[in-house]
Amino acid sequence: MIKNICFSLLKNLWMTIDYFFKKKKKSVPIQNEIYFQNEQRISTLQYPKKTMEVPPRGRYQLHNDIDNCIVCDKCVKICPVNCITIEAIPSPTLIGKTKDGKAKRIYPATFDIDMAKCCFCGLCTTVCPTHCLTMTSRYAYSTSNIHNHHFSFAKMKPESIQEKKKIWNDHQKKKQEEKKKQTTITIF
Amino acid sequence: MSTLLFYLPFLGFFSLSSVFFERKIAAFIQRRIGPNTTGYQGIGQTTADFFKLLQKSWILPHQINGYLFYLLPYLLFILTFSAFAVLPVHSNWFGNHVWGVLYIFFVLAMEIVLIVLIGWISQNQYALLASFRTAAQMISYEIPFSLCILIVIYFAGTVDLQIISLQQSAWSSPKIYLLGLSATKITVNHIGGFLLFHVMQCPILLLVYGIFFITSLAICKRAPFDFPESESELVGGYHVEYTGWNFALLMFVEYSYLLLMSMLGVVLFWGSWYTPLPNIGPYLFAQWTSGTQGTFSAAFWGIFWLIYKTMFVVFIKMWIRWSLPRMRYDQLMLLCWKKLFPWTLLLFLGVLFWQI
Repeated sequence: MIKNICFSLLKNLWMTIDYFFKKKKKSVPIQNEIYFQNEQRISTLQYPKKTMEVPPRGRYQLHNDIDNCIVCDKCVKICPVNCITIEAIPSPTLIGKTKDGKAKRIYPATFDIDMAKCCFCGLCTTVCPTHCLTMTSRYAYSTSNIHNHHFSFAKMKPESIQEKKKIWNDHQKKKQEEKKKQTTITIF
Repeated sequence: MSTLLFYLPFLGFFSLSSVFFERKIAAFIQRRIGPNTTGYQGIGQTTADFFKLLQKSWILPHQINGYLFYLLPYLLFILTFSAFAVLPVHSNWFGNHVWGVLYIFFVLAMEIVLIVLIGWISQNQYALLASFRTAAQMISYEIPFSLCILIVIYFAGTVDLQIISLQQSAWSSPKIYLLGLSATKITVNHIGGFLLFHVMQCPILLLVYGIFFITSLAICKRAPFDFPESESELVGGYHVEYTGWNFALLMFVEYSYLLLMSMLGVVLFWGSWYTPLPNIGPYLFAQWTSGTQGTFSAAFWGIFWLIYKTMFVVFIKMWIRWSLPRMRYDQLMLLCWKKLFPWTLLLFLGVLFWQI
């Protein structure tokens, strides 16, 4: 038994000294074909200087392309952790069209995503009808202040928000008056 | 004097550099790069760590006798450091102590008392448990350790480490026979080199050195016997409550123990400050690399060889630390009492018969 123990210990020591003296090659990312070849490579990464290669369909930070957003509110409804908040202002007229030809009828006053709450499930991106809400490959955005994880995507200025609200309110009033007129007409 | 003039600066330099080299060795063994940002290849890393530790606040836990709490690391350091007083530096410069190795026994025994005190004064159950663990481990391992040294003392006939060193050099007054066998009638004094070392004067001492090495690992509290700290499993050992400079002192003590044990092994078994290169025919390597006694050359070569051999042993200890896994606690005790202790006694008998 002692012979066995000594032999295994010496084998172990031989292996480590072999590692110690061999020249180590530079590390390669896992996508590389030679990654799984049994070669002596440095197994760590000098993180802030070099970063790991992210897969092409990496699902990290959320991004909203606000110009293509039709503010349908589907992402808010499906989000399991309620990290998306939307304030919508409907418009009486057509605003414009998205890239894939869908009509935009609502202004996004606020479109906030709290990435501190986000659980990276990706449900919001699947329900998005215009594919404007996407997950990007950016993952290193940790900060010392948690409010920096609160990303706002809406570009509207407060004055224009007020203006659009006023327009919508006026439109509503006009509609109601028209409705009243219509009802009176039908009665009489 | 040799302690203050030579060993204190050397110890400071050693503990700074050895922490750095330990991290580098660990990195190379585990296919990493290791510290590489502070200075060239990270060479200033431990110095930076040291200054960082100096700036750290001293946290005094609740309900603790602060005087004793802060005094004990200094006591431990002074005690450990005083053990270097009996070690030789080169052939003409030594502590000149008749106690020699016996003083090192005393230091080892006192260290356990101080460690138990540190664990007790910390008012922390984990520190207390760790100090008991340390004490149990060190007391048990001191028995084969002391026996190993006892064999060498018996073999050399003295406890003075300088005389032990002299007896392994070409300047020893009794004639040294090949492998210690006087029947062969071949003296090796003129050949010199490694043939004069204790391990070559009596090859059984090679096995004794093996046991000495294992026990010294346990006494230095290093892997695979690092139960006092168990770095990867526990928060810390008996020094959990210490912060900043006091913690640095305790780490300093651990590394000075590493140096002390490696150096003691070199002095007792591997010819101390004497050159390992023998004279071969016309090439007088031994004479070239040991100088003439009493001159500057002898001093230079003495210090060089002593430190060179010690550093080699230190490297082996670091290598072992990063290669072998930690043992289980019952295996630790089993190894000490059932394996090492009887084997040392047997080897003692062997050395006795070899001398006959």
